[in-house]
Amino acid sequence: MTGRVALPRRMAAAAALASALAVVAGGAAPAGAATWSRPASVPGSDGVGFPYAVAVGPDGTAAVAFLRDGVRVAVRRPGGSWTTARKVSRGHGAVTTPDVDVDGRGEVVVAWTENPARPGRPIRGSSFVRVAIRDAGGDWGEPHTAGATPQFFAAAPSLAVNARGDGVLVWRGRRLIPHAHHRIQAAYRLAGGRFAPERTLGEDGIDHRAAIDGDGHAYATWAWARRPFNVPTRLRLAELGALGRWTNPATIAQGHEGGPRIALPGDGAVVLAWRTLEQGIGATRTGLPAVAAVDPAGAIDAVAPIALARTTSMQLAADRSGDVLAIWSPAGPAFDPASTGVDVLSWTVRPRGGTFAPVRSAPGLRAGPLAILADGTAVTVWAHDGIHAAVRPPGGDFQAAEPLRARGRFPALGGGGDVALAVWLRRGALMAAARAG
Amino acid sequence: MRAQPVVRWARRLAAAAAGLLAPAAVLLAPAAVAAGATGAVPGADAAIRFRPFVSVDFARPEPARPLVGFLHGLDERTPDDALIVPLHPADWRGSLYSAPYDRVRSLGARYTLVVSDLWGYPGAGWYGRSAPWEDWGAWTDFVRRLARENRGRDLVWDVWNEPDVPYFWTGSQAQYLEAYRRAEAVIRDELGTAAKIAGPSTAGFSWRWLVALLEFCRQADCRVDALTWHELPYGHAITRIGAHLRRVRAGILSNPGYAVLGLRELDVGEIVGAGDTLHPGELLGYLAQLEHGGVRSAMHACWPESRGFDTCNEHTLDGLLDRQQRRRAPWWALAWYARGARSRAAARSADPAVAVLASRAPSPGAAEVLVGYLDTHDRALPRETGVGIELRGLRRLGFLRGGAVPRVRAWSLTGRGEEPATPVRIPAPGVVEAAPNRIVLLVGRLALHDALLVRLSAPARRGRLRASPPTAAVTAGWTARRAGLRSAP
Repeated sequence: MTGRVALPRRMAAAAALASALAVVAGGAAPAGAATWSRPASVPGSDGVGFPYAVAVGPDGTAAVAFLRDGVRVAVRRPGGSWTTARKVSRGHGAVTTPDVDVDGRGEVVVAWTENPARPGRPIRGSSFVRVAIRDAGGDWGEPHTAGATPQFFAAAPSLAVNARGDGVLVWRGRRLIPHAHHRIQAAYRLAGGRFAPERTLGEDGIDHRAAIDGDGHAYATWAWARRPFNVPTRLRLAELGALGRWTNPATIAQGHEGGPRIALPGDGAVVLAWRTLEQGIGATRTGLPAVAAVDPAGAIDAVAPIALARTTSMQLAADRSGDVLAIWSPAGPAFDPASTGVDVLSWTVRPRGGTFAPVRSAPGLRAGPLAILADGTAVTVWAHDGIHAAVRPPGGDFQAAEPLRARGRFPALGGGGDVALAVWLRRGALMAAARAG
Repeated sequence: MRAQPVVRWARRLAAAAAGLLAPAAVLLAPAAVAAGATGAVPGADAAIRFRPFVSVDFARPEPARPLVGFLHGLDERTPDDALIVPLHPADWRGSLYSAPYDRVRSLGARYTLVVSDLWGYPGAGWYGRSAPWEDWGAWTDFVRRLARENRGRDLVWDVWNEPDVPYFWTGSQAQYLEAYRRAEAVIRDELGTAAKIAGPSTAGFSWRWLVALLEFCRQADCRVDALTWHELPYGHAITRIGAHLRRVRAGILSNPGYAVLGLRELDVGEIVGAGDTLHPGELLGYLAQLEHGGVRSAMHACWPESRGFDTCNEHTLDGLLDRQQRRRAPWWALAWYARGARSRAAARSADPAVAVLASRAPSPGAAEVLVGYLDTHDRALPRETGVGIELRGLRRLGFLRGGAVPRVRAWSLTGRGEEPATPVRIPAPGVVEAAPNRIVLLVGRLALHDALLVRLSAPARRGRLRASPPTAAVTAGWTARRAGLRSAP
């Protein structure tokens, strides 16, 4: 499938600069030298539940955002020591769905949804997307409001911050006009600033994701949903253009599309991975794996589907050299009656400026959250009879599964520099294990 | 020459084993033989090998929560505590009138309040009220009043019973979801975080209903603390319960999309279909699957009986007792089950028609294995079967020291319909294979619907387990002869 969309052309310049940065950044320790640390609890996380988020900056600074009487963030310094968890939200309102990112200076940005209702009480009225920032010196600023939303759980702000600190925040937002209840909303910030003002991306959607490249070009993707809800029909992509205006959303694929992920390889293209030919509803949807690269001129190079086994989610990440890795696993029998239930991790690579390579697979592994480190090492973690990780050395195949812990649920993963940090839930506390070169 | 008796005994035992396992082979043929190691009578013909039906590993403790729960059928005095306490009830589901809260709590059970039982059902003229969707204000006022009246009580709020059954709900699914949302908001408004709110409590397992509630709440900002449904097979296979639970655990409980709603537990609000309620083997079949599936609570269903009585209204522990408060066979099976739940050991069956549950220390100085032979409703089964029971990890049983051979005793339990029943002591199953830390027992016959209790205790006379084949064969043959295995089917 090919097509064209109207995206601005200035991505080419961004690609050149990103390429230069990649060369400057240089290599890191060989993948084989790294090992996982012994899992330890994240400070201050006793009594937490789901959700939570983790991110690692280029210098190895890691942040874990979780919910316990508000939003709290524990920071892991590049050397491996943790700060005490700090409450970054104010008051005692209900909070949910935190997202976190870390820039190249070690500045931590965390966003979440907040409602004035006290925790455990019914959600009423508007909720707000709030942001708190910890500067490189370790001081947290007062949280500010990026925008409003009639949603609480489904607002789900998606945050992306680049190395220099520019950031974009995308969420399912507020009611703008009568009878059009929701809109995908976004807010942008320049390094060091606040997320403002709130902008609409013009239509409703679900599964929204944000991305930003090294030059501050921001993108949002989502699944546009035709009513009745939860039946997405089009995969959409918008770019933050000049003067802070978002382009009209472009359709990347149409049919039953959902669950997009987005990566920016630095060659000017926008790479997407998603589920096509979706079945099911909401969080039980499955679809066939699909990938596409949209070049600066708007041409779409899509392989949809790229495999014929249904999956529940795609994962996507770009490394510094501009290679993009997409991974997935077949949906289990719980979601897909035709599933064989066999664990397989499949992946495809799009080399910088190239096309997607044939799919490769590794039996006995599963695809989970994905991170790519500075040297191109890819890491994924998953939960199945414990927490496991698998590592793919640069240009190679995924290696055998490494058990991290016998028990645990809902693993999250961040990666930056030469550090990958896996976090998971275990008996009401967060556990973390780091893999460093 | 000295080896000759050993061979003779071994051959006799092998013949007995072959006869015993003929029906077993029928059952095993289509089933994957899970976990059971292939055993052989040492010295016997190679062809006379068998596979234990069930395998127990006492060295592998398994956390288990006793799934003893009841529906309605309680007042301040009856049934008497003596009939309830041995069952260690963990949950009771009722309307507060059908089972008094204070007594339920004094028995150590958690109370699940079925809100709709107090509002009324279309099949009962809404108890003079109207459908909730015809007057949302009345519905929320009712729920709010109920929440206020029960402030301070530890309740699970089961919003509506079986909204997929027209007797209980004639509105649409969307109207049910709205009724749930409004009730949830009001209960949380009154009771805050402590309130546990459950749904959708469908009459059977319905993936569509379960996902619909969760998806609705993701958009409508309601929360679901406990996901509930009923496992009443209505002619379907009992053995689908395990598959239901595997699907829910993999697709819902482990799904981050739903974890955000605060989903904490799976509750099966009613178990045991009408046709199964008098059979101890079937009861164990339900419980074993539910326990392996990791549900938080399960409550027995109540049904009409042959003489026009309804166990929902009688104080008979949902038919475990007769109207004269005499114990029926399933009462005993549940008592056996309940006392072992706190010290559960890993146990697996190679055949879904044979349920097994093991406990390491149901009472001081004893370990127990419970076996039930159940009609799964999806295939023809022999009226009787033999059962091989592999017991591993014996050294982990505190009462067996130095590799001693445990004393083995057994009781069988046969349902007598609506008549009371008691367990019957039967000859101990034969030890057909013995090795350090491991023995294999052979139960000659277990009738369909029946349950069997095997109790291991310290040997009356100290013995040693020996791994060498001749000695093991002698031990096996001796025990098999005592047990009269050769007369088995």
